Amino acid sequence: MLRVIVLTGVNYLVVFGLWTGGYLGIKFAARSRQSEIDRLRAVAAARQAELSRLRAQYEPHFLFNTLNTISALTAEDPELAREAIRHLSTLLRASLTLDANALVPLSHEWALVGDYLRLEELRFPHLLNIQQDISADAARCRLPAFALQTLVENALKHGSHQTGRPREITLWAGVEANELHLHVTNVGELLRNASAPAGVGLKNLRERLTLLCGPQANCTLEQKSSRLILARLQIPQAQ
Amino acid sequence: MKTLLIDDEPRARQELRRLLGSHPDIEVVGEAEDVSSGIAAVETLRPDLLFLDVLMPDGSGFDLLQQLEATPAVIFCTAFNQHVVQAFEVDALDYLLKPVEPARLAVALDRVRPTLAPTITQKNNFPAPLRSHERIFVREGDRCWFVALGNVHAFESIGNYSKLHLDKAQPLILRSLNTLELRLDPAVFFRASRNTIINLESISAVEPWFGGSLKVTLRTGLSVELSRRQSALFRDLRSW
Repeated sequence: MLRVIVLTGVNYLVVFGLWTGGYLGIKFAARSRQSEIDRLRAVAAARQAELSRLRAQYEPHFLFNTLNTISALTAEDPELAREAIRHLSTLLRASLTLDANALVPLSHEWALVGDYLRLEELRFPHLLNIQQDISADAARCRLPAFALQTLVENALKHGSHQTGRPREITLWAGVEANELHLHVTNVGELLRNASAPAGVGLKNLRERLTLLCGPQANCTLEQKSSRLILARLQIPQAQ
Repeated sequence: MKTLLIDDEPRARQELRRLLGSHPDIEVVGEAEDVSSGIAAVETLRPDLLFLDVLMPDGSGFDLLQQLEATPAVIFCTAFNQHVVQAFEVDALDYLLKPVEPARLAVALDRVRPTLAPTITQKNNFPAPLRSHERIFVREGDRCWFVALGNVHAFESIGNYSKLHLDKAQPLILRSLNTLELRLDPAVFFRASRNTIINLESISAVEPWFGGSLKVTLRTGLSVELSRRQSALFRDLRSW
């Protein structure tokens, strides 16, 4: 009798144990699957947040100084004022519809940079000298929106400023081994101090390059000769 | 009011000139396009009022002010206010946002006018000593403000710098005591010792000290022992 009771007890225990184990196992698997989904969601959200944080924009200084230029032009040369408004509208429209995830053709990016440079010329008359050489292949290559803009802005901002002397910028783009190579050269000296932090614009650009174009893409800044600074952008193109 | 415009963008200066055209008491005496030419223009033109851009290729408007021995009245002009707002306490000075609104410009000018003392025309080439209402620009960490010389109780030498003893702060300026002494009004400021210039109006007590010298205590609590020679000068000055 006692044996029967014990055996029954053991049976119950085994059955109960199996049930519990199975239940916990399924629950655990579900939970770990859920946590994996959550983790991936978090990663995606972080990436999205990161991209929108890095979302490039025209500098407020540039925008308001340009408006001030237009204000002066309305009296001095109304036709030039209208032209400036058209360029500014193009830039604002592009910046409002800019998709931080997008890769855009270089031709598109270069057109926007053209509008930007024209406005800079109106702000600083006769103080800008731009040379460009973009191959047809390169023009079709894709790069993160605003990448060229960042390099050109940097070249203007950190180039040497000798009062009354034009700022010279040279732009070259070509394709090698299915990679877009973009060089922006300007007259100036990199800060000797190696610990000086790279500009926020350049730092953001590097992070965006890695997120959008993978680890092969890169952006470097170097002192090419005693008077020239070279910014280099290298972006592998999808087959 | 002799007015100088300092901005690196020619059209920004032109726009200001145009706006100032409707204020007949403003005479634009010159323009400058960066910090170094701005300093030179202030020194040669001696304007009463500066319109000053914040960001320029060779430095900021603040850098410019720090290098002036005394600043004219200043109205900052900036395209974006983040720098100015960070740097200044409320009411410490006025600034305009570009593009400038004519009504806002009129308000800024109304605020500036009463702070300007009538200009004394100078007869010779020697710069007149700086008077008590004239202001120097000081900067301490993130804070910047103007100090009227009359509100400085003492200047204390610290290397190449001078420490200003004010009511509530003791900022440093990059100017030696010797340079300051040459420009301060001797009727107000007295070289009390090798490393201190005191404001005679800030003195709260004078005591005889050892060997016929004097010890002067200021309202701030700072006390300075005068050398025997300076004590004699001080007695003469005050007819003690």
